[in-house]
Amino acid sequence: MRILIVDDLEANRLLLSHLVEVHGHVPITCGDAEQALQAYDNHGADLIFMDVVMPGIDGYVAAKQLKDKIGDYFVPIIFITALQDEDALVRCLEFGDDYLVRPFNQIMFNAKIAAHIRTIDLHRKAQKQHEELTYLHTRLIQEQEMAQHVFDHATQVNYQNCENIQTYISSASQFNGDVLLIAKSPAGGVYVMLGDFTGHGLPAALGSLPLSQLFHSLVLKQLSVGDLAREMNRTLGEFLPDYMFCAAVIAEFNAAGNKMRLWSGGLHDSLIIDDKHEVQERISSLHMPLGILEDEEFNTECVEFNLQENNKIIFYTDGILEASNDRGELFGRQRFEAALQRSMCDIEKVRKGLHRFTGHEVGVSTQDDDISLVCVNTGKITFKKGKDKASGQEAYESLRAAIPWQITLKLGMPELRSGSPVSQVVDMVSEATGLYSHKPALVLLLVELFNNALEHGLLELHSSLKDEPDGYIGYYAEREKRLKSYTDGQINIQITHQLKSSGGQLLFHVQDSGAGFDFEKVTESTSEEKHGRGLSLVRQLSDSMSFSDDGRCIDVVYVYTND
Amino acid sequence: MSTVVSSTQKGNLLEIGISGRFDFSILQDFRNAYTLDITQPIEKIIIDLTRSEHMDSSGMGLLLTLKKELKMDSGCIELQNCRPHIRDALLAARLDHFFKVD
Repeated sequence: MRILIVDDLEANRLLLSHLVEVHGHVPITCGDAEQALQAYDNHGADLIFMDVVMPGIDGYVAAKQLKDKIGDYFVPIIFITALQDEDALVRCLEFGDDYLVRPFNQIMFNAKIAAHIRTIDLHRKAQKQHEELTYLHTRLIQEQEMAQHVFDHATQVNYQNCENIQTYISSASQFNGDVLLIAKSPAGGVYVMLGDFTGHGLPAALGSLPLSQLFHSLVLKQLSVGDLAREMNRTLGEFLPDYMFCAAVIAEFNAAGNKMRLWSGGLHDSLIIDDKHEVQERISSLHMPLGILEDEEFNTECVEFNLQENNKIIFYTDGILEASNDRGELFGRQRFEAALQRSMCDIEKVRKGLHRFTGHEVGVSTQDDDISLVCVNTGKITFKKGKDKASGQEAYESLRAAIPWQITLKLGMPELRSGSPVSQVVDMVSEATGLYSHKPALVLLLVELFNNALEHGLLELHSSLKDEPDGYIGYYAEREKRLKSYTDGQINIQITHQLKSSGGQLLFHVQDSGAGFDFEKVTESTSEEKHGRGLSLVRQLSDSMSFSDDGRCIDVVYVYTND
Repeated sequence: MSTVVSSTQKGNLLEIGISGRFDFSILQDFRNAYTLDITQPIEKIIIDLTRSEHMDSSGMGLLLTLKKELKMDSGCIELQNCRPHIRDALLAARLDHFFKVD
């Protein structure tokens, strides 16, 4: 330790230096305040002994000047004085940290030094920890900002594009332990999932990442809500530690918005609100939360509801019931349902009502738990155009310009026997820029054209076979038989993509090596018969259809415009 | 994805679910659904197409066969939860005269 000794008498300085050196410390001696300040600048010090009465600047003032220079750093100043009056000693403690009254004995002096060294060590340890904490805190904030960015983008897609759905989401901390997922179903309806993970903040939010990814991929398969729940349960079981789980409700609405299938585990009652804004039905959870049960124990049972026009379905997490005001009162179920009724399920008004109750300003987050509130209006499910976040394929398409192209396929008997080559062709075509959203129509067109060429053209099957008893089975048995036994035969398909000013067109040219047929007769059949629908469908779906080469050749034009 | 046909009978109501492609490849399974294990006369059939992503004219043929074989009146067979393009195809073929298309 470097110990600064400030005294105007040389005898005192020598004595103190000696005592300090005996214990292995390094003395730095000065005769007055100015020298002391200079010495501190040059050498620094861990501890200072200061005489009170000195000519010029006295010890108190010198101590103050040194303390100012030292700043936040902790360097104890011990006054050494012959003064004994209380007032002088109080000032010693005011300007310095301790005092020693002359004459003192060596034991007392050593004990003082030892005591102050302990304090210095303690102080330095605290200082170091403080620096480490500051560093870690800064790093944590940076990491959280990064994580938040990822979460926001991974979990909050498609929040607002379904026009039937109103939401209010408010998290207790930077990360939301509630997860709300909304996605359009392939059948034109909508899937809604609201989940509440154990706890809140980052640990709770972690589970929402795999859930969100899984949800969007399963919805594309139009899985039932029960099966959706099972998949999520399995995934969460793998991801989450045992003490974490996710209370959730998963609902699917049909395209007309008058039917709801619901799987519910561990969340509060979902509500059906009638057109008079009264609670018509409370739907209790049938199951345990996700992420608890093993797959073989899991129950996919769900409930189905027929909904009236102007019904509203309310899903919420417990944060809203447990929101409290300054008096510790909870918002509670009664206030919540009354707020829904008064506001006619206007989620924005319910939110304001909640803030009036809790007394918290909007946006000031002092709540204890995450709050999520979702209202689904019944009736035809509609989505905002344009704001739809593009799906993978659509996003990809937007990066590429459409181009004209042509493909030609020559399918011989081996290819025709190997199953339906059409799905491959359709995949190729719909991969092309601009055509993805037309895939269903293109599949149907190609399937019908192909089957017509194969069954009626090449295999010479006559639809009247279907009119005999068990005709349908007979027809397809015969198809199978001829497909195996025929050795010669070919179907050529040529597809041409042309661009137009606001879209484009596809020209299908399909030719078979069969005997041809009387196309004028075939195309006149009506829908009341069990056959002949294939070509009439093609005519309906396309913009023009014509035969040539005695029915061996068919040309179809499909025109599309870009939305 | 291979097609799965499931059926349940509730009194005079028969519910058939199709998951996957609805075309001639499911001929046998589809017929089994309304011919096997039928305990009471069927008055109404609901065919749930929620999970059927594709139907072509051969699938429509199956529907017409069903109607004819069971001698069902128009409107007694309901097609539920059709995807938009399947619905379009059913309407294009004017099958809504025979079947209730939801």
